[in-house]
Amino acid sequence: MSVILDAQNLSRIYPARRGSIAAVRQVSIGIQSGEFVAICGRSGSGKSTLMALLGALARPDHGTLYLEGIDLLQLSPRKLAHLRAHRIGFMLQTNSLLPGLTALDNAALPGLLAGESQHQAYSRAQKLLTRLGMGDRWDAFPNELSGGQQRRVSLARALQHEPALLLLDEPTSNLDPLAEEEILTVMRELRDERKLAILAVTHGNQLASLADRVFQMSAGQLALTEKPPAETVRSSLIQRQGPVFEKAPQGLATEEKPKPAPVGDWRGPASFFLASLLLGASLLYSTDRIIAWSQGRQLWAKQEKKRITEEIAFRQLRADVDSFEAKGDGNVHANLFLQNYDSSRRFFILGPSILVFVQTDGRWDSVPQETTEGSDTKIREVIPTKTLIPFQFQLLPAKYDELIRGYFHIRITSTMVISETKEAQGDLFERQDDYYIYLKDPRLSADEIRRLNGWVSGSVVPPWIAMPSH
Amino acid sequence: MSKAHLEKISRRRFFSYGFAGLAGLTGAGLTRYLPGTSFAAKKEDGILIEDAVYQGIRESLGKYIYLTPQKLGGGTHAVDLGTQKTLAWISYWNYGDSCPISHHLAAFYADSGDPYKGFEFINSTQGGDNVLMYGLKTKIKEHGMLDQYGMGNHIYRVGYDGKSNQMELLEDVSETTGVGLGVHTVPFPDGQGFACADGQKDVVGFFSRARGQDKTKVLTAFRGDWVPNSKVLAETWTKGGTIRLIKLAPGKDGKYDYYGTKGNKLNYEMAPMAELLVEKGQTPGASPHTLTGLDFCLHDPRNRYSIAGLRMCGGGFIIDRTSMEPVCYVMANEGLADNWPVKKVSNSPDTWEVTLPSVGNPIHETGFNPSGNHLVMMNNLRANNVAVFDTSSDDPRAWKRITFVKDKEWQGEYPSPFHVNFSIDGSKCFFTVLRPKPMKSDVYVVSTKDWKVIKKFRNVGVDTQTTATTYDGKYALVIFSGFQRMESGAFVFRQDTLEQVGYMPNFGGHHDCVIVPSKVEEMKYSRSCTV
Repeated sequence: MSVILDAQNLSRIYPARRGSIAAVRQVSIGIQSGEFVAICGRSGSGKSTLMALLGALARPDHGTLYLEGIDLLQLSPRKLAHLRAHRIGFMLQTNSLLPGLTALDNAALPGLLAGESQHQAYSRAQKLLTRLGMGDRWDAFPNELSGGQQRRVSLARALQHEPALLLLDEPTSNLDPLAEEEILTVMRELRDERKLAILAVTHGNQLASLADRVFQMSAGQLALTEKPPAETVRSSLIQRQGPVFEKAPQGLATEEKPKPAPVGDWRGPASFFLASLLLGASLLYSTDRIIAWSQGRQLWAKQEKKRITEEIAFRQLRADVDSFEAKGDGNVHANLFLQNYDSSRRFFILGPSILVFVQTDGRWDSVPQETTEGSDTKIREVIPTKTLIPFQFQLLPAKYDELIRGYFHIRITSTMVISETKEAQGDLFERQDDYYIYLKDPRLSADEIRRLNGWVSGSVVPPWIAMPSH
Repeated sequence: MSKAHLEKISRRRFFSYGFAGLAGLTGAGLTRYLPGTSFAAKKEDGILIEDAVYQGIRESLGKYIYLTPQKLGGGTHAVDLGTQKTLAWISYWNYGDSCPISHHLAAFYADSGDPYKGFEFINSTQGGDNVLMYGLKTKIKEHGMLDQYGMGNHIYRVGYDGKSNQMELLEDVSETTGVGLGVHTVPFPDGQGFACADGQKDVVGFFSRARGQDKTKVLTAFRGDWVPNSKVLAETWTKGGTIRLIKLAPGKDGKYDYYGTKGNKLNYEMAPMAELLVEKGQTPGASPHTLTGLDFCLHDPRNRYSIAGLRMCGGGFIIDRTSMEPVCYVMANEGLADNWPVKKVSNSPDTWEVTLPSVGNPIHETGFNPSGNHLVMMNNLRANNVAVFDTSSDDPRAWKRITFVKDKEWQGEYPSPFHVNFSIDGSKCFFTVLRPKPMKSDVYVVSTKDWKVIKKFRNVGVDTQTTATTYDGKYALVIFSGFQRMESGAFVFRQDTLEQVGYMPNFGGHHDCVIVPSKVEEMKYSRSCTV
């Protein structure tokens, strides 16, 4: 037998007004496939909290928890939910059957929610109900079933997705001895047939007497204990002849195989009205969805095109300043460069249109400039190797801001329109960049710059200084 | 509808239709998240590519303190990752520093075992003219604030006191020792000292760890100088030369002569990917042609060796901290030998040399994996890849370069791998990948099994910087907004599943981040072994 569940040193502490309460303290337990483990204890001893921890419905404050070798505490909430839905079966203390669904619908629900086909989910649900003696009552609503029958439907629902581990919280509470025995017998058979690992918490001895191992829970701690002796009712039942489950009430039983009930069998006009409303709404909704889907496709295609253009503009087009050469007459010869970062995708730009500014008294004053090739009206393909875009500007202001003494603070604004195709059509994208540099005043010598800035003799005096983006 | 058809309609079928309608409604809600939105992910060449999703964090990240400097903000703040509340902050202006640029930091493990009760950290600051690089219309220089009290290169030791919920400046290590450095601060893996370096001065200092009101001592300090073969600045590194590593000595007063801007070879720091600006003559400074770019020193988690990285010289000295002498020089450049012998050429002062025929491209950030058997080093600008060394040998002279992490996007200068960190289990390597403005930078995940890229988080934020990992192995936090006054924050993803968690607001132009260790064993996952 392999270990299905392995929990070590689990603790769960709840904050309370008068100090924290340790509902579960340092609990370690392992369960193997085909093993039936019972945990007994009085109400409030921490059994249900432990069950929630073992079923990964709640997170422990300390400890480790592995299911079939997977560390449950390391899983993201989404993956944990997926694992719970496929590998763990829960039967809670309350039946929690959906009142508006039949026994068959209730039992099939986990399969449908897990994405199984209707055929698969309903066939398995029907087999399970038959196995649990509910084959005749598949079309009954929960309020038409006895407590024991409701438990059997709950059990069918817990087994629907063929879990490796079945967690049962007080599975036989509030049942008469006969119904209790019915549930226990089936559980024992399932364990033997499917090698199902079963963990049940209970405060009754009847259930515990059937388990392979029995633990006692007290004040949040777990201790292995001896199995209690089987009660007399059990031995009398074991000797009972005939089928395990009682027959369905007269008039509800049928010799034929179950088949869907006709509309005429429906008891309430309200149900019929509700179902008709749902059908009508779903038809209207389906029509609406088809139209919306078609329109959505068109919209999505347009958005996708826009997204690609944006991606080209922001992730594929590299543009930056390359060089500046200031002449004594105030003429500055400069270059921008353009580069395509992804050779597998071509694209084109209109421009760049370049503006140059110099900072004076905190404001940006425009500087006369021209592009050598009239580049702002040209459509060009941007290629993977650097392409230089020359431009010139005239700069000899009488006064300018000197964040570094002897250097102009220059801003170059470049605007480009980006398109995937040479014949610009559809969505275009405009990208505007600002580049900042310090440009040495050509009227000043290197020594004057050093003196003004307190730089030591022989220091490098750059003709221009690139600045980080800001 | 015919009577026969009506009779076939059962409750089950009605429920089916109803269920289909409900499922449709649910589906309609979900369709808005289908392709075309930021949740979209795709696979290219087996690499999962996912756009960062701009959403807040809706879960506790654990009981950890996240420490982040604010660069131009002039201080540092601590955030409780459990509640995402700022626990405390410090601003160095308040202590008389007239131009603090809070740059890099690293925390020591908490002596009590609980950082929430208190811890100490080291924070370097830039200063001098660096504040002028961002186009601020500032009168800070005119007002004399960059002179005596604003030169920067302070190494602040700060204490956080959990009782008062306050940070307090305990010591300016640069004032105590005369060694003023402004870049990476990296504690030893045993938490008993730290290294700090500065690429403007080419100096690295190894310091003892002081506690409380005690004073820090210099264990040793080195300066790196480059002696180029060519006299042409543009060829200074490409044509080769000799690296000279000199052990520095204190003056008669016991202090070193590297306080403030003293010893600066460059006036401004080399911003990431700005190494080539030096050879282009675009970075002002007293002696750029002697620059080695010694701006970090980090440590082998096995706690004997450190690597002092020389950005301009494509590699780093391996320094034995038991003798405080260099053992060898490892180089990341493809096509050149990976391990170079170091020759001692003088005893007064102690000087070692390595001669290189050329330097193909600069290196930058570097890191050891948690077990110390691998070292990765960025080859930037020209090669644009990551060199991987096998460092499993006890003798660093046997450390070998075994492969390069490459990606088809890493062409030319950008995008380029930048800071590095590892998952706690060592199975993954996280690289921030820089893209120039207006592009947003990325985070790449590399499997350390075969050193291949397995996932890319794209458009994470402007200038993604260092990554910090929570010590329970769950989360990785990437700080961004490195060089300028733009958007900033921390991007969070799972270390194990590589699922995105979201963004945390975080004020400041960050260049670094660290999660405060609670015990010495966590130091090696902290800022001790990666930058």
